[in-house]
Amino acid sequence: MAGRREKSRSSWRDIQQGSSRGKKTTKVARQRHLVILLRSAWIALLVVAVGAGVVGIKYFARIAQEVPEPPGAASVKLDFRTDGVLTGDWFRQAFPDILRIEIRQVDVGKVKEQLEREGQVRLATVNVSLPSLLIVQVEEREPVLRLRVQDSGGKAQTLLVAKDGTIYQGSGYPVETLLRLPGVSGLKVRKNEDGYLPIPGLEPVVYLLDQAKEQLPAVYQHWRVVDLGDWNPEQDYRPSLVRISSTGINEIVFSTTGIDEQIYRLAEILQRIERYQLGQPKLIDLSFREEAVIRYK
Amino acid sequence: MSRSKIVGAIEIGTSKVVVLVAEMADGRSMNIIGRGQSTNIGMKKGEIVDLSSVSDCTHAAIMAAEKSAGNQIQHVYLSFSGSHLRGFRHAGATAITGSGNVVTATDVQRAVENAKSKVLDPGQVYIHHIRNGFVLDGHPVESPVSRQGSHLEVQYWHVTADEKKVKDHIMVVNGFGLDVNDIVISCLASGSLLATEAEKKQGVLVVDIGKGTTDYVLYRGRRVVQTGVIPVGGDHVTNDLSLGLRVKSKLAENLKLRAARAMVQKEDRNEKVPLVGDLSIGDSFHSQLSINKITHARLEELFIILKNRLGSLLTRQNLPCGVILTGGVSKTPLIGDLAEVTLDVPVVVGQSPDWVRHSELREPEYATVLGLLYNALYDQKEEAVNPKAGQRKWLSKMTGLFN
Repeated sequence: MAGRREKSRSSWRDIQQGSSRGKKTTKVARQRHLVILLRSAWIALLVVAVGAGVVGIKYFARIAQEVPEPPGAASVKLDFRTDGVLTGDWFRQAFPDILRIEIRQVDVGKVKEQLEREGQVRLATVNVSLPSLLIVQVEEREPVLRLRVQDSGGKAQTLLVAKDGTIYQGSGYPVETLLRLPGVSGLKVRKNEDGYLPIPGLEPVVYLLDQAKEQLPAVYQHWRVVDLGDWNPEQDYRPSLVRISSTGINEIVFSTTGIDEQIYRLAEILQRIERYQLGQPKLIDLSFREEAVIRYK
Repeated sequence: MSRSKIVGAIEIGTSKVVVLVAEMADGRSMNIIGRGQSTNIGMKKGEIVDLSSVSDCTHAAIMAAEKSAGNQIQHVYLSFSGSHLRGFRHAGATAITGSGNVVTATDVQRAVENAKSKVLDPGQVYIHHIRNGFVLDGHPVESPVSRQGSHLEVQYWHVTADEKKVKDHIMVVNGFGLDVNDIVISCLASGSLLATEAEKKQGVLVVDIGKGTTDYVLYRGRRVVQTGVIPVGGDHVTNDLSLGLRVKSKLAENLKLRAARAMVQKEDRNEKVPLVGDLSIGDSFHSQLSINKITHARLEELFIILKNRLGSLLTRQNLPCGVILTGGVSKTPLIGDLAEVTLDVPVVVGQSPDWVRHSELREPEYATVLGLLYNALYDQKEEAVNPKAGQRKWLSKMTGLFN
């Protein structure tokens, strides 16, 4: 344009660069620009894809964490009541699925059945209190003996024997309680699908232990093993004997008939031995009706 | 943390465009990783006459270099030549007025600004301001700061060029999508590579004889004393051969490369040189004597022009290290002898430093482009020493994105 004067420059650095407008571009340069554009677009896409992947992984990880908890599960509350040692936590561990389903779908009959299949539970009552409370009330069996068995893999296992002869794996008992229980030997147990069949006719033995514990607690506390090798629940068939091994007296033999009288006699014998300083007895056999065999060390 | 930069050195020469790509790490090391080259047909005597074909050739060379490097160029250093380049000495002066007449950095700055402030003719731009030292009260000093004096003078050798021609060169590079980071005139690039520090200190003249122009730089006391361009080069020899022997330019060029010598010798009388050289039918023979005489005459004239330009500077006393010849024409046999006879100073043909290991890159044609990379390495070093300069460039680049 006539009269238009460009600003005077003193250094080549004042010459404007960078703008491609008006610059002499070639096919090669255009190809390069295209390659750069495509490469930038590819990098941008890659970044977006990686970002989306990270977000997706986080999302699915969150979903996966939420999946085990069905809707409403968090609102189901448990009221667990017992006369023994079991707790609500035991129930949650033993029956995790029951608390994860909708409260209305809980089959109380089935839960009761499952609970009573557990050896430790003698009687269970299961109620649902809407909107979200599951009430579980259990009566537990009381262990009287400890039983050591070997499972099918040859691994030793300690079980408990309840007063009604049920054999079960105890749960929640304090260690002191378990250590105070005498062990049982000479007993033949039979397996069933779930565990072991109950021992029938154990009531006289349990009665003997209960009476000893009540009448002669100082003597009972030393009882370590109850040998039922000569014990026979069908008394008419052959004499039924219970042999007690203790830390003080090596063996005390009881008959399963006349237990009260035998306990009384044992108390008399021990008093007399102590009074007349007759020595430490090794064997006291009380199974001969009104008589007793005493052997000293 | 090591930061590496991909630097491209571009020489748009009269006969060809050469591009070298180097990776520079923190201004400490340089690794040449790519090379591209293409024949240039759009230039004459170092000046662009056909912008379109020069762009094509340059872009093809840059593309080839980037491909061989496997990386994209980030910084461009461009060499520049042409008969439009001018050089002149202009000093800046200032009176020292501070307390105790002690020279301060402000005084130096004032003198420097004064030296650079000379208004150029319209259409001219500065390419370089090369400092030639300080004179304090008539005595040359290395560093005047904190010294006493009343009159400070700073000597500068300025190089200017035709603005339009500079723009053309920049436009060619910009057309590829790259900005020019620095322009270095060809003789400075090749001079910085070929002359050692000791030679620069004692005095040496580096003469780069290209196809279209002859560029020269004279060093003394480690400083650039004078630069210049003579619009005579290998093309003139080719042209003379073409006219003198009455052969086509292309054949004359071939003949020059094969047979031309800078000096005439006795045995040349009986020697015949085939024009094509491939024993084809119809190939004519030319006298070696004629070829050498024509070559000798043109090159002798070139050295005489050079001698006249430099005048009293070109003496054995001023140039104890003599002349270093480089550029494609320096490969002409016996050119050193001719130069020595004509200029009356010791002459050697330049050798690239040992760190240039690639045998092809050691050829004199690559001296300029290698010198550009050498300059770029020094620039990077300065940037590493003075990171603020780097930050400014980075900032300007960022802001440039939104222009």
